[in-house]
Amino acid sequence: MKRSGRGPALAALPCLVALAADAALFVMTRRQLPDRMATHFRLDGTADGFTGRGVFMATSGLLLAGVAAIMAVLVSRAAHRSGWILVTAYAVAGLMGSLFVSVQLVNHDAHGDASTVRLSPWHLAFAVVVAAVCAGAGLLLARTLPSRGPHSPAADHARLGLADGELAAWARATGSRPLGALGLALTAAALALLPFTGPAAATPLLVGGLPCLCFARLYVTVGRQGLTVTPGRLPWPRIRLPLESMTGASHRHVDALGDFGGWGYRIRPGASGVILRSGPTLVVRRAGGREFAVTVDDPATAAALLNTLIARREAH
Amino acid sequence: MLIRVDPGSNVPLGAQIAARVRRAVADGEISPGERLPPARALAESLGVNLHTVLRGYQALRDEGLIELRRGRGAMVLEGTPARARLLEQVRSLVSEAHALGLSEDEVVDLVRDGLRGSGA
Repeated sequence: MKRSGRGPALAALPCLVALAADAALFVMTRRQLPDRMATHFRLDGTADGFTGRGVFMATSGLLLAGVAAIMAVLVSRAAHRSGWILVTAYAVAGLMGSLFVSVQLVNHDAHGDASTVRLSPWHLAFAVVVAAVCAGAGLLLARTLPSRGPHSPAADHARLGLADGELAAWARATGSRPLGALGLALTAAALALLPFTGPAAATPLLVGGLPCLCFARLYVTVGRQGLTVTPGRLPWPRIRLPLESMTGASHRHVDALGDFGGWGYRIRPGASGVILRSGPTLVVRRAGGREFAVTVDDPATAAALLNTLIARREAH
Repeated sequence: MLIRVDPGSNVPLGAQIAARVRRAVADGEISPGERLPPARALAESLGVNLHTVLRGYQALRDEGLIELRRGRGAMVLEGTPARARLLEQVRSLVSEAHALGLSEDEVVDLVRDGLRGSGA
């Protein structure tokens, strides 16, 4: 697969620039900083958390370098459409960079007494504006990257040798063990906490845990009705794409983070999908040109059956 | 798991579905503990009657390959791949015996002799 060499560098750049600004300001003015800097603030702007200035520099530097590395890896792994990663990288760099610089500046002004330091809402607003401007820059840069369209055309339109009148269906369970484990852990924690903390702490855990449990295992069915995705244990909610709404099916390897930005029901420009893991994925092309993807093992058979059924439907 | 059935064949559709699942269990294509597609969904996908699919599933349950529970669907039982292979061999034994024109008693006698022979 052809990969762009420029993408990862462009994704890492904004955080490295922010890191350079953060470090340069620190080196030039560290003598004016208090030994323990105010680094955590209440909503009203007064400081409620303090950190040694060396630790502040190390932490902020590591954070920025870490984000730069993550963004570069994400762009290098994305099979196509890496633009949204660039936008995120630039926005995060703008937000973090301007906040770190603001924290240093307000600590200068305290003249050695960190307890009087205030970070006003204007600093936050400024950081958001910087983030927005940077996101815009990321969007413009993303346009200059060569777009990598859908690939593996050889896998497209493979057919199944189905005799006239022969009926066929394909069904397979798919899922994510980590997601199931997470759902189980959250639900168990909610039930364990309920007697001690009441519903206040248990409810958010349940709200997070139960959907994880329900959607950790899905059933994908292909047949005369088209493509159906249902939770393993419940009949609802289900996703159904009728045969007449598709123009073809194929399969390819999908990287959950790189291609869809995460796990779950994902919507991206030009595509949506149920993405429970990275790996073999059934991809259906819809009549409007959009794609629908579902991560499932043995997608080649499912795609071949769908193409066969679509062709049979068109012939009649 | 791909399930193909041919309405033109003289084997009943339910038996064809059962044979396909038996093969999938024997091959390890479906593992013990996994669920079969819900009968209603499979019937709709294939375009056959729900009761046809249920008849196939019930045959598999009678053979000890799957467990059928209302509301929980059909689940492949433990230790079934070997059992599924044995069941397939029984079927091929029966069809060979039919082709030879052996009676039911003669087939049972042959199997009984085989069992005694291996036990001696």
